[in-house]
Amino acid sequence: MTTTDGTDGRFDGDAELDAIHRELVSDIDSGDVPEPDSDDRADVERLLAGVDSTVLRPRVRRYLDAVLSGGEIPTANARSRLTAAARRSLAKRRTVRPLPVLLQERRIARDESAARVAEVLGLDESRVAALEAGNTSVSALSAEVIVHWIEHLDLDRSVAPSSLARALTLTQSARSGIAAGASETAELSTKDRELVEEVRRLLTSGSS
Amino acid sequence: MDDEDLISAARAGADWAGPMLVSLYAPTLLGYARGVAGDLDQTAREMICEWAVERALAKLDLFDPTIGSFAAWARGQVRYAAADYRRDHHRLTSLDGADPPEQVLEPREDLSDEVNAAVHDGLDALSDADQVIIGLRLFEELPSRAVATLLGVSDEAVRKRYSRALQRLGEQLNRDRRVTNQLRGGAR
Repeated sequence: MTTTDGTDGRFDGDAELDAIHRELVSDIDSGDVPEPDSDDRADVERLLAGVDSTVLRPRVRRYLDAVLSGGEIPTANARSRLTAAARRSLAKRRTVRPLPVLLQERRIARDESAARVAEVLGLDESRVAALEAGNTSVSALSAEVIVHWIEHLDLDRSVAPSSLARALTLTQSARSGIAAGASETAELSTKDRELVEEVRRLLTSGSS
Repeated sequence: MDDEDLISAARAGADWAGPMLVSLYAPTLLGYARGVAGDLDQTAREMICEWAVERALAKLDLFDPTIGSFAAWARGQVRYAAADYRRDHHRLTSLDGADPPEQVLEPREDLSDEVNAAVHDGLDALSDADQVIIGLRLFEELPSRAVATLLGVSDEAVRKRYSRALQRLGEQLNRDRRVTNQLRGGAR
């Protein structure tokens, strides 16, 4: 693993990562290090339990990725199982229902009127009804209004972006004249892709 | 094709994206599973990775590349899957009177934003090496022997490095009034 110039070959000559690695493996005391008090140690660990690796410096995270990327070669059985798992998950993504349908179901489950949703979003009630029925495309709304709608009805954020993409794809398919039962679907336009990304960004950044 | 294109395709549900993602990340995930669940047999680790892959793709909309790499995010799915596997397995084996699982420290829920900020600042003040060892032991949840194998040093060396890093962080936090003001008089 060590190259002729003494660096660790795993890091492809990345000087920063090599420097971190040298610091890690060379600065090992041979003498005893007093153990922190066990209560103090538990306190520090508990304070850290609420954070994750995103608080670490970017070069440290790169080092972690590099040192953890080695892995093990999958057996044929393992590869087959993982590939089947990936395919199952992707198949489910393809059967995702359009966002307006999910939002309508949430509204009804919460026993909330379309008028109330319209009031919250600052829209006409007739427009909300048209959006829910798919007669008006959600692409007519801004990302902020869509996210407000999702958050107001407390829809699962993890499914919302793919549901939005599904709704926009259906709209595009209809515009392209692709039959409803056809296996092909239209591609999202650049504008629609940007809308989905913006909604995703607002949802994951916690816009509320 | 770069990761961004591959992940976009997976988000759209493209079937070909599955085998490609598995080719790219299966070795990392299986190796990582060996680190976090080295006490379990290969069949169990493969099941953990299977769950992790399925969940990673189901929740792909939550992956934010500006926060971290896809590999780091996928490793997180392996950790959750490993925890679920242990929980499920414990439920089954506890009927036979097996030992309870090791206690996991729960994060304190009463911490203010100030204390969290102090923890962030304390971590930021540590050296790269200290951050790495805390990252590997706490955030990646790897046992010290797995870290030792990764770094090519002894298990004892890892333990010493980790103890020193926690000690330095603890000293930093004990000097920070944002921490002592909240924790003084609290349960320790």
